[in-house]
Amino acid sequence: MISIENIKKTFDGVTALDGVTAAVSDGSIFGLIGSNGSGKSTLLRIMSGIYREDSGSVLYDGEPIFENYAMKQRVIYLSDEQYFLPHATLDEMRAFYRSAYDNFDDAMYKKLTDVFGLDRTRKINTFSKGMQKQSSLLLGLSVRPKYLLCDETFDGIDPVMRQLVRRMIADDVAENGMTAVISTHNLRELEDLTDHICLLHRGKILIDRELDDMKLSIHKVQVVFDRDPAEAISALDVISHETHGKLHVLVCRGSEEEISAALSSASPIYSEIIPLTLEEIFISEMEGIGYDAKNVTE
Amino acid sequence: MTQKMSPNKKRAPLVTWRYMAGTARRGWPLFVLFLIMFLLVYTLWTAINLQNLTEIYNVRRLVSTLNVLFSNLSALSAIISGIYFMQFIQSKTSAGFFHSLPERRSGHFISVIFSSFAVYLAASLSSYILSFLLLALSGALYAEILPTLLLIPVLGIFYFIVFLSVTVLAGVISGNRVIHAIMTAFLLFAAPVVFITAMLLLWDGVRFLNVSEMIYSLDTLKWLSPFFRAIYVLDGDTGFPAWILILFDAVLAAVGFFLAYYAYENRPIERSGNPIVFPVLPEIIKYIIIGPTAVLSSKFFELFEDGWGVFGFIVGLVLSFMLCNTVLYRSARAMFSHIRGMLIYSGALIVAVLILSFGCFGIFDYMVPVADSIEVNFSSNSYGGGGAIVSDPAEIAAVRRAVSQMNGQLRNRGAYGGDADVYADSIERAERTESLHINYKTPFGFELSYSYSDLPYEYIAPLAETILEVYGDGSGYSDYLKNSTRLYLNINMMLPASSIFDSIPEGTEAASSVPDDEEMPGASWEWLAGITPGDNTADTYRGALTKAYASGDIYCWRGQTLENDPISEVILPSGREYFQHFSMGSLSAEGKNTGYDGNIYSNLVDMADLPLFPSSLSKIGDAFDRTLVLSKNFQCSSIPFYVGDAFDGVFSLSEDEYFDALAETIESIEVYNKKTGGRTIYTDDQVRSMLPSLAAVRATDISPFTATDDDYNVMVVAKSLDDRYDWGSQYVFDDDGTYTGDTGDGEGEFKYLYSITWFLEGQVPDFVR
Repeated sequence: MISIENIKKTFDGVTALDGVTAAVSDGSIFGLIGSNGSGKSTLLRIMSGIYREDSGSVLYDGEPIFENYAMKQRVIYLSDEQYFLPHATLDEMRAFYRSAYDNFDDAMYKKLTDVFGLDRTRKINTFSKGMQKQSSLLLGLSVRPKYLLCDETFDGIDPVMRQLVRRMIADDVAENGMTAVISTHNLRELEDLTDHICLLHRGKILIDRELDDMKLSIHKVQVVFDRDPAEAISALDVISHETHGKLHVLVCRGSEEEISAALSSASPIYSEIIPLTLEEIFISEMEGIGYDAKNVTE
Repeated sequence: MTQKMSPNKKRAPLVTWRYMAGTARRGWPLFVLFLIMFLLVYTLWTAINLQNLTEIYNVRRLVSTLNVLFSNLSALSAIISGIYFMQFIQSKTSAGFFHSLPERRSGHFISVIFSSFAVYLAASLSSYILSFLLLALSGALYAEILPTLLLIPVLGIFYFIVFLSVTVLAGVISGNRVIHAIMTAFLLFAAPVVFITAMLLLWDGVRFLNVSEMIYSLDTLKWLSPFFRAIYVLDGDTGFPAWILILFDAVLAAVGFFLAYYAYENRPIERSGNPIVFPVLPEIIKYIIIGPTAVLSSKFFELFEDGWGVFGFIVGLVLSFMLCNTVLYRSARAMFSHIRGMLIYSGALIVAVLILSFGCFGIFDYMVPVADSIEVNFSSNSYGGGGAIVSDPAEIAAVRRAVSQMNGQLRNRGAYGGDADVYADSIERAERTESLHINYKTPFGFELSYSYSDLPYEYIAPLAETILEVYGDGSGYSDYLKNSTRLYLNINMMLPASSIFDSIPEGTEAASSVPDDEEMPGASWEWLAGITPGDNTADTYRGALTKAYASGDIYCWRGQTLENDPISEVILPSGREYFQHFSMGSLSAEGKNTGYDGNIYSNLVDMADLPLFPSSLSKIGDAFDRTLVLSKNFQCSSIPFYVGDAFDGVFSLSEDEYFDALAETIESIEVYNKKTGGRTIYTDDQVRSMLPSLAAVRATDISPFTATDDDYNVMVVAKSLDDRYDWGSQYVFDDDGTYTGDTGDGEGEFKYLYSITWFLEGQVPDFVR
């Protein structure tokens, strides 16, 4: 289990993380989403022991990660910017990983290179961006980590390979109890993969919930009233509200039952409660705090 | 809240061998580079010189060169390998990757050191062993040079470690490779540059500070950079114990590694990619750079024309400020950031210059450095040189007070601000000027030199008096300080009397006169060259000397300037840098003239007449069978003054009469114990009683100007003869040496000094012991 406790980190006077607290259960896939510059990468780098937090703590099974040799053997961090030794081939990188990690699995390495169809003797800097991402991922997975930290790992990989990667991670979590923390802006993919979502904005957590809970607790409502709906709407926890003639489009917090009950008091002519996608939830929540396209462009 | 150290971390190794070995293996391109470098320079140089190794002298020279080459290559290798192996922390991406690996920072740090060392060692030792074998095969492995040869890699490894410590420290604080290289140079040379700048600033206010001597001298610079220390040690002939510098470097290397490790442990990895990763450092580095740049730029522009220094200062300051900002903050937008700090800094620099220039706050008093010992050397165009080394704390304090007083006088009379012209007026009035060189050895081993040129005597009077107090009157030094003789010719003669005069038949009377002036032009060097050892007649030598002088072909120095052409090689078998030295047969003589304007001919007469007493006619028995060096200070005007003058008719004297006559001319006999520093002065009747004993001493060898007893020097100091002669109109000086006017004819009170110094070799007279 990863316990993130009140993490603060400042760069040159700019607060990147401001009291972030979260918990990642073992054997889960933890989705880390947020606006640009929200602190996702910083959090992941602190979680991987690269950065030292200004205050707070990151504990893996009760142990800090920073400068912890044994714990780092169990953690792989896949950065959004891949690094490979200059002019190295995959096999040379494998040798390097073997010199650093006790559990490097040669069989897994061979299997994954075959699966991805990568030439092990070719210099990695001649690979495409997507192939380099695949290389980074396969090397990381060959370590057999207990904790996998991915920072926009899927970006740049073609859909077929993304599907493959997602499946591999899901299998590893299911079969080996691996815990994955995945940061990405591709919320559609994350929705299929993750168990738990943490939404960061400006260094703070806006949402930290199980994905299913979150989906059940926020809904889109399309409703038409024949009389003033103010009273009914005021009873709802509205995140956003748009009107198109008599049609009200609302995004509300609360279960479907709670929302139905609130609407029924106003006897709507028509109402429909629709579950939101993760992307819609993200947009709605961001709009709710004033971070929407309209405000940004203005 | 900061994280607590886990039990796992405590158990974790500082470094894992597997990772460290892997890092070293990745350095193979560097190994290839180093191997080529060492082979092409070190081994190839050995091979090229193999043909010249038949003599051990050549082998020794080669080994010395190889030592320098190996150490230089080692230092260069350290810098290259340090930069190479630390590149992993010089970009954000690689730093992130490597620090996500299961390796502690200590592991990364030790891996860098180990890998650098392993790669260097493999390459350099391969080359060394190959060179060693080449030397062995060529039969050049003399037992005498073997220890030096074996020490070559030891010294090389040492300097590799020293320079690696600097490079690693620079790497930890840098955030990219280019800055890493720049910071390495910065750490190596910042201290000397700052020192030179400080000296130049001080020089603005204190012209007496001998800046050039210090900023170009390894004596000082060696303490400020391992680069200069390495040069100093490798030079090998410096007189300063090399082990102290090596120990100093070893300590600094240890401190460097420790600082680097500490800084690395606390290195903010998130700032990798920035030029300098520690936010506080760019400002410090910037001001260390822009100050010297501004001052040096000012000095550079001053070379063109006075007054352009201000322009140079501003240009240097502003440009370096902008450049530093751009580089250190990696943005042209930062070019003018922190401009307030720059203004404050430049203001402080200007204030410092003004304080120095105007001598505010008694700064001149503070310009007398604290010292463990002070060497004071006087030299004047009228007195020659004299010096003293003061090391007693009380005496040092007295000298410092005197110098402070002198500096104060100079300040009060406007002799500050680097305006040497302020002396001019007083120099014109003063008949006696002095140049003064004071060398302070500070407690930290720095040497600060002060030079005062052509200073009127009145300025140095307090210091002169102090030195007198330290050394006591009657030391000879006091004569230098007290007397007013303007010009002198100092002639030392070494007379191996037996070899000169033995060929003179008994009963032959030496010439009692010397050729007249009219006879002189006929002298030719061919004639002199024709003199062969053994053709030793008093007349011949006396004539030869006379003609040598009269023809003007003699070494004659005014200060450091050679005024006349040297006597030809016939007379001067080997050039001497100081002292005229001529040798004819077994007679050697050296002369020194620091400013003659008189009739040197008459002095030659003095000199020639003085010692030339054939042993067979000598009234002191075997007196001439000793090495006798006569040192005589002459007045270079046409005054018929010479020791021989006191011995008119000496050849007809009995031995006792000779000693009586000789005693009349002697003021004192001084015995100086070189071991204890003690000095005993004998006068009056004691002198007379000692002369036979002195005369009885035999010499065993001739060694020009070094013929002294291990323990004693014996000086025979002649009486002043001012009461015998009418000196004519002379200058009059007060006690401080200030010129006060002229006397009437015959009223001069010069104390013309001459001394006869007998340096006794081998035995010393009984009375000495």
